[in-house]
Amino acid sequence: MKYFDAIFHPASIAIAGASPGKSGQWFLDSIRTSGFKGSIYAINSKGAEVSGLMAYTSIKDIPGPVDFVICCIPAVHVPQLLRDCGAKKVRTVSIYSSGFSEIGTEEGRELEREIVRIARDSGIRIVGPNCLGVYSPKVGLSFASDFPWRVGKVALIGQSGGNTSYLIRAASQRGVRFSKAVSYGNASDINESDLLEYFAHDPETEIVAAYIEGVKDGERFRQVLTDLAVRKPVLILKGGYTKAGGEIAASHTGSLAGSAEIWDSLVHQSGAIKVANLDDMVDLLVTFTLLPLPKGRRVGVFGGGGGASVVATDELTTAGFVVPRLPPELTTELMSLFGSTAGMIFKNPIDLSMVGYSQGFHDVVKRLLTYASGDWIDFGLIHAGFGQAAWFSSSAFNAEIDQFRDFISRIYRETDKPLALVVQFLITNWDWQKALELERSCSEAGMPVYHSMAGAARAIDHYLQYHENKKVPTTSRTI
Amino acid sequence: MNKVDALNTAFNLKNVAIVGVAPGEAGFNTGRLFLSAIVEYGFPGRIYPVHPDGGEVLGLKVYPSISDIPEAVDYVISCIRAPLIPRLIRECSEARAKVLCLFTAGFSETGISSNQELESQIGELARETGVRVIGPNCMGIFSPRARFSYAADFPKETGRAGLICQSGGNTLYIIRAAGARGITFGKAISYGNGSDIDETDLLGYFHQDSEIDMVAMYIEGVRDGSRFRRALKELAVEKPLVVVKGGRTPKGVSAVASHTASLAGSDELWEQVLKHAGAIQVDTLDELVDMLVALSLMSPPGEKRVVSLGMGGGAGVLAADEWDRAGFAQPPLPEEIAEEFRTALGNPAGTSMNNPIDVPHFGLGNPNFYEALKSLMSWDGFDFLAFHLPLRGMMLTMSVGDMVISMETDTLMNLRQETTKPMVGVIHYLANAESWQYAAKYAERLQKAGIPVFYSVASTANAINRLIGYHNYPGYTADGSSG
Repeated sequence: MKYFDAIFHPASIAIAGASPGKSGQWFLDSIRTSGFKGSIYAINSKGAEVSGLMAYTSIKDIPGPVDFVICCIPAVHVPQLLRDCGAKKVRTVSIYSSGFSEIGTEEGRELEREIVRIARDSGIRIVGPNCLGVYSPKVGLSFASDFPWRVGKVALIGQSGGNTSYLIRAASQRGVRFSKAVSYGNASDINESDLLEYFAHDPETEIVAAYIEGVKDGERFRQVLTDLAVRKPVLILKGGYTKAGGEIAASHTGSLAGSAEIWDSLVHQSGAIKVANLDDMVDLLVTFTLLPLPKGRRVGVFGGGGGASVVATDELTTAGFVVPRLPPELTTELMSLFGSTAGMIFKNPIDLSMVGYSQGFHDVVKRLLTYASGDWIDFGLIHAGFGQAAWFSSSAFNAEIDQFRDFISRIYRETDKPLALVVQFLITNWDWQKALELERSCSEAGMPVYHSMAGAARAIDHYLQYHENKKVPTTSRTI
Repeated sequence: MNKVDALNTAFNLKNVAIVGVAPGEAGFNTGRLFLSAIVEYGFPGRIYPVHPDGGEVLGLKVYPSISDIPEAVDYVISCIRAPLIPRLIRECSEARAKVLCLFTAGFSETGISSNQELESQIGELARETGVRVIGPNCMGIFSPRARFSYAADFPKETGRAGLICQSGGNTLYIIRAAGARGITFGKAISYGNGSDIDETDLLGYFHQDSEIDMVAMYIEGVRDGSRFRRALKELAVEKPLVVVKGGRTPKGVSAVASHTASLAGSDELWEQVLKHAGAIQVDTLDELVDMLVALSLMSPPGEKRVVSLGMGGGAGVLAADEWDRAGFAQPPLPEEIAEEFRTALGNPAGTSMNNPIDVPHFGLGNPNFYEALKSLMSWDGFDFLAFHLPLRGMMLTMSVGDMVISMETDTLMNLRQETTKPMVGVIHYLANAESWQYAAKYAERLQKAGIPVFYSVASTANAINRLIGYHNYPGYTADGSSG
């Protein structure tokens, strides 16, 4: 598996088809802004300068060795490029170009077989075609300039470039960081099983997420997935799960989707976690990465308004959580502290509308989280609904949210009960800008943030179930 | 005054008094927050702040009591403490004030028996004096026609939807979220504990109101089951009625008791009652808004055959899964139309002419592609077009993004003019601040053209399923008469 070193830690990269204004330039610019330390070479047929870099007309003209090539030229020219790469002793090529098996024609399929033959003959390994390739923040290799440069413990494989990009961006926004990610497209050579097998043994990876449309070799996939799931949590989303989706998967990545029943039983038996959609995947990544494991299902909910608290209670209870009544001593304490419950609820959920996000909010929530060593609940959710606020002006709102951020950061630092923030009921672009700012600072401090109570409930339920299942003895477990 | 006259007076108020507005500027005071919101929203009538200290606030004279106000007041908002309310009602009665809205909380929802008694006393006083009470524990009325609002940012337009909502926070969210989706209300009421004017009165009121075409409702519990059931059915046979029931689980029921002191009833019972009445039951506030969008901006498709058009192969695969799960057929395009799309785009690589049609962002600006779209819309093998916009953070700068948005939305707006077939926009996979900026621009332009916008394939499919279900409901006939 040495070729993986060239994929994730290349010392030199060449981009074929790096012409001004074309996709090759995006790749070039992304790698340069991501801080790649090795050599970067641009190749285009005219030798035209691109992003201030002189371009070579052929890979063979590049003076030094090249570990990794990103190919953005039209499909018909890919075989020749691969032959040249063979002559140049390139080890891996990531092919962004599309127009292979996914177009559904015999020519497309034959072209894909041809590039695989050339690669085998030349000792080259292929990622793709029809993919965005590799994100390896450790070495500054990225296919989008805005991906974080900080390294984390999640590895992601995605058969769709767009879905891979979305998962990286949306999860990063909420504090998840990646060890490596691969958008692998048609999987003509390096496929899902190769990647999962690699991540099973990769010491830099603790959690694996996968978006898969189809599997090349079912039996091998079953073995690899089972072996991986014993070692690390695996979150897996199947695209083309339904019959109609499967037909689209065929024209997207040339995949044979397989039936939903077979897939379900395979995932279930392997011990991997089945994920329903991309947004649930993000919620799960946030949970597995940031939330300390709660000891049980008792939750305290702090801060939503009355109606929001009613709805939240329904959603949490439906997902199998217990929302215990506040211990009577605490109710009494809050009553004497505030004099009256008018406009508030001191039960759990705790509605502190009339207190606002003040020092009082901080003091109450901290007291509830630490009361009797906190053993009346297993975890806490701070509940904020921006679009439910009655009165604010833009300046007051900004100040209020900044204050809220400071208080919840303090609560988070000063207590050790698992704690997450649910920011929901976001409406305007302006709500979103402020919420995203808030969640960025919370998640950077290590606090999980969710965009809906229902989403938080689903993800934390999966998380607890995963750990409950792990307690069941398995003879095959090796760690 | 009877309740209908009281509601008419409140929704067409000519003046308002706010009791409990502390003079000056300092400190947190809900009365002042009401006042400044009413002023900022642009209420043209006379506004009377009331506080025993008198003085001035926001340039307005503060009256020591309701009886010092020189005219009879249509609508009084109370922000004073609960024990003071019985006396306030008597004062209102003496001063011939008509409707009292109690923002004031601290009644039966606290679960304390003395507070519960206080609430029954208020109900009795309302009946006795004829000063009708909204609340307690509520935000009261929103009436854009009278230019009256307790939140300054609410939409200014008068719409045709009515809202009956037991929670103030949920009212605020629904009005704002609907507004952002192009749906405005003609009248909305947050009615809290419903001690005098209750959910059944409000259903009856909106049933009779010719300015209201559809009604949204968030309800936690009911005072009088059989009266409620009758009112529900009478309204639902004539106007679409969309209902979210808060407090469906046993724990949610307990939260309801301390929120609005309502008897929540069992989930099964609610489902039966709503179904029997012909109301559209939805599970969340967002589904409620989705449903209003579908009812207002879409005609129900004849059958469940969708063609989707959008950017991104993987997003298309997942979209196909979601449509399939929700029971929608996705017919393959006829070869001649697929060929027209292929020819328009020149190169099949990276695109797909199946259904979903995967097209690059720049494809929509192409005049030949537009012709192919026209051919597609005239094909009778499908019932509606869904335009998918996965905005996961494009590899584009904002300036290019603006150009692309204008180009794509212009294409869809033109297409909207040329066809009667329903069209929807699905904006999803919003990854970061940049994608939200794009989303806001797309949504604004599409809604302006009358194209409804949803935020996931699953929620779009859900709303359309309910729309079809509603129009197929045996009790419903297009002319509004009871079946």
